[in-house]
Amino acid sequence: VSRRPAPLPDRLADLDRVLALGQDRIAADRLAAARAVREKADARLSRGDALVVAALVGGTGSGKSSLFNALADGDLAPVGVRRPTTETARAAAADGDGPEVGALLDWLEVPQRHAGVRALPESLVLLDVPDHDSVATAHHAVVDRLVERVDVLVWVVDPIKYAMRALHEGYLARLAAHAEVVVVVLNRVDELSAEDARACAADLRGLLDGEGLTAARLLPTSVRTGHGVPALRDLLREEAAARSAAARRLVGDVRSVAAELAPDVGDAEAGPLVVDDVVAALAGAAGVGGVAATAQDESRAAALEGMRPLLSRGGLAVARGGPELLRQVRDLLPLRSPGRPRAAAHADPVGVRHALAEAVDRCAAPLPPRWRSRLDEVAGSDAAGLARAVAGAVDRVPLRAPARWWWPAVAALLSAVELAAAVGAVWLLVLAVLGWLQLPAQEPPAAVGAVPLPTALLLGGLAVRVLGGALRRRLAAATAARHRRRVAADLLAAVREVAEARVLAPIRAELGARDELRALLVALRR
Amino acid sequence: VRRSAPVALPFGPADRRARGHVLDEELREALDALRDALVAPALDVPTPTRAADRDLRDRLVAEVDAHRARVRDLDAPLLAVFGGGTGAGKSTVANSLVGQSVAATGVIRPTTSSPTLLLAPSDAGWFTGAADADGRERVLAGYARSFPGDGVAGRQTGRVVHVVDSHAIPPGLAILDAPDVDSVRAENRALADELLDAADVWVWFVTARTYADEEGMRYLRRAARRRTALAVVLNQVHERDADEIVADLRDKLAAEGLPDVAVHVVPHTATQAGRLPDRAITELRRWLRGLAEPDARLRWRRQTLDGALDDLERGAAPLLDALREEERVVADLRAAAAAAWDAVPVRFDTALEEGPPLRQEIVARWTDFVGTNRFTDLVESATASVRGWLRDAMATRTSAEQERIRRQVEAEVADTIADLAVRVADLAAADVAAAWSGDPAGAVLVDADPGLRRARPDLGERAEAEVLAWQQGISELIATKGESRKLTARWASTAINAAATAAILAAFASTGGLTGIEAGIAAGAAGANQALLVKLLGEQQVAWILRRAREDLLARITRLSTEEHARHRAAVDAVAPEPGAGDAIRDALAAVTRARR
Repeated sequence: VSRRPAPLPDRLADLDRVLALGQDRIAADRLAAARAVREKADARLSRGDALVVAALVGGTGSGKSSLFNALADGDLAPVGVRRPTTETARAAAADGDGPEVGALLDWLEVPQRHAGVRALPESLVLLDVPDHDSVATAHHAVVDRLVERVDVLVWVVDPIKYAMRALHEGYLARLAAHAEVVVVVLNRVDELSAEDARACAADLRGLLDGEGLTAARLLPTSVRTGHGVPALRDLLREEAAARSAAARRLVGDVRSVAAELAPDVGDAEAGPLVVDDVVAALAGAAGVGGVAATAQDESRAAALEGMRPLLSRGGLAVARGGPELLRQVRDLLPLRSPGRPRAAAHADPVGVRHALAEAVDRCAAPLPPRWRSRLDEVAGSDAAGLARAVAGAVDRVPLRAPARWWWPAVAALLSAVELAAAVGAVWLLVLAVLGWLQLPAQEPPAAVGAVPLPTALLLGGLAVRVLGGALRRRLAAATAARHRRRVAADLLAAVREVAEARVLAPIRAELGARDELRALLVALRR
Repeated sequence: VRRSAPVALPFGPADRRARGHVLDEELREALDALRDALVAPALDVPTPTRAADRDLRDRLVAEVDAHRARVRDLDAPLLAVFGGGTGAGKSTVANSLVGQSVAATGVIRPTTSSPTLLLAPSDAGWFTGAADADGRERVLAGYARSFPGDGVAGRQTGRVVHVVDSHAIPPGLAILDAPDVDSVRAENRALADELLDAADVWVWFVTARTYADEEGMRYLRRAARRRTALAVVLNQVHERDADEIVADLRDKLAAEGLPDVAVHVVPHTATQAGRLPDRAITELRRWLRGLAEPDARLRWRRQTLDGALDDLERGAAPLLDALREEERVVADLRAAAAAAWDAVPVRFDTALEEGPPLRQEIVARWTDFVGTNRFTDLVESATASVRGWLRDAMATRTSAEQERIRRQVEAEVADTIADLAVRVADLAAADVAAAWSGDPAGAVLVDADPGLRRARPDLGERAEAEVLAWQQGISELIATKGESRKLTARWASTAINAAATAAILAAFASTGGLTGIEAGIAAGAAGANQALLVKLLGEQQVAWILRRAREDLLARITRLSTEEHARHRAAVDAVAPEPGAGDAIRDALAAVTRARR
């Protein structure tokens, strides 16, 4: 499946999105370079995007001006042996009186212009540019500006200077993304034998391929013999007819700037954001386990209280209203009495910070370093505030167990049993008193099987009361355990809500922005 | 060519000394010391410029080596280096001078990648072999040698000098055909730079097309600054353009501060077998022959040497800057690590004040226990005389339960404090990593050992051991202090253990933490604990013991933090420069200046 590269307008839209997302996420200088490309694209496209600007660039003495004259078929540019020869940029165009050409050349800051050069193809603007490597360093700035702005770059080199560092490291090696609009002309081949010229061209081709300029065209030329000049003219005519060089050059700019931005965004997937770990760590910092345990204790006490049978309740009431000594005893047990004021929850800031650092660390480990600080910033700039928020959320979770409908039933049942035992006891007591007073019993009490009824009531009641008491404690413990689980779940949910809002959502948003940037840059580099 | 065979030197060492040509002994020693000082710094700090700085240093060392050789043997053959851009015709002229193809020529640029040395057969001893009869290193000591007889295997590239002797070269002169200074091959440029540093005379090649190149002119500017003996060969000039180009070249040379430089024109002629016709180089050959005269030789060499020595300080300045930068980076990294780790005890202390997340149910159970009258009774029984069997029986049961809860509490405290210590240390390490990542060299160090982002994995265990030792220390302290309270033997240990646990808990919240925590479990715990302690030990003792406990805990945490800090310190120390490396170089440079006065 051949994936066609996206057209320029789509790429520019993507670049706009990158510029928006990249704010504070990509190094400012690189983002500025990307913005400059975006602005340049607007500037170029608003000045005759159907025109094609081709510039002859290269070192001093490589024969740019001679080639310019040969292509324009006239002595427009002065040539000479004194180096450097060309002082300012010079333009020639077939028409060139038009306002579009004028605006374009104004933007390119080319002072010397030749209109009506019939030898040049329609809609082509040909530039002769000063050298980039002579002692006249003022020329270099002119070259740099034009290399940035023209559509087709025709690099003119000669057999002596084709391997110069200033050419390759200074320019060609950075133009890999622009290979489509780069033409390298090996000029002055007449100085070599045919065989040497081939060897020389092959060596140059190897250098270009090594710089990623495989797609760049290479032409041997000689102005003196005319060799290769028609081929160069044909090539320029094709470019002029296609009228796409400006767009292709800008696509190259976008691709190359995307490649520059890519290391800031990175290729790797972000590490996992393990929600449960973050929530557990925050909950741990807030001592949620202790809070749940307290809730369990209180729930158990409340259940016991709710299921307390009548007589025991009376006993307690006596104790409560009882003598001074008992009150003192009760005061010594202040911490277990149900309904004691709840301590305000408190989250340990160190634990909170640590939880955040761990979460960010895992996410950011595969990412470029900038993202670590970025994630730190969005997730954890205010650990103390987060600690307070977590504590607040814990505080809002109700801990008190609701009263159960069956508590009074159990209490009533146990009360009934206690009552039955009491009735049996009183009855037996009455019988005993009657017997002691030698009063005749009216009739023998009814019997349950072999056991007389009062005895059965007392003993059976006591036995059932003991069993019921154990059951009551068992029920209270089970209720409390269930309550603890529910409270623990509620507490975790509350912590999770805070974590979601203050930590997880910002981290996810940041990672989402990064994923989008990464996808955009991949598309832009393609 | 003789390899290390004995050769007839032009002058014996004794002769030279007698002729007064041996420079001051002091200068030689100063140069030796300078070399040692330059070699000393390892330049290990991974700054972005580290590779460049090391290259710079290597080049300075090579240059000083060249000076040492020159100072030692002022009578040695003059070394004239053919330098210039690629395609300037250096090798073609060299071949033409000796009348045979000894250096590679061709259309592929750059052509020359390893230097060729042309010399008179009688001078071979100066340049071949590892050392001369006196055991001194040869000129160009850092290079291997190859000879025409070596065949293909000998034609290596790179740091190899091809030595060719020829009677066409006058005795007292050696010509070195160097690689280019301006092609894409970085190793060629480095090699050429080194050879030019070692040269007594530069013979600089330009062509009609390249004479205005900025890359070449930078070298000529350097030669002007250093007063290097220099001649320019203008090659491949058509006769008709010669006057105009020579005039323009002279203007440009004058503009760079080289008004009086000799310019030799080699006209553009067809080559034959890679050589120019003899008439094209007659003038150049005559000039070179003039260099070989003993007086001229000495003059040229002294000029170049003086200029180079004058320029040494300027040449070493970037290295000194690099060393200063290393020291700055290292100081910054150290300061960042120290700031983070020094803050650990404070952070830990603050966290204790704010109340660490002790599992409250355990503390509550303890507090219940301490708060009950049963326990108070127990304490009473421990402090008062025996109260009878009933109380004893009750106390025995109580004491077993107390022991169980006490152990739970101490384990919980140990866990919590150890956890807190690990977290605080983790955060400190993360802070160091964040601070270091802001610096390119620091980022390299962190990336090299990602473990530096966190506390050491065994810190938890070490922290727990420290906390247990701390608890032990409190028990002993209370045992010592409690003795005076006349505890009865039977309950002494129970009471002391209980008091120790109370003190351990009190350390969390006794020094003001109470204000931060509202009424509740913690306050209750603190209150009950304090009450128990006061009952056992008396108020003054308690205050003293609690202070001691807190200080001891912080001291232990500080020790742990110092151990963790050591890892970051070691990471920096491994690359940190020896202190005073820059000063040693500065001193050695000053000594060279003094020796030349």
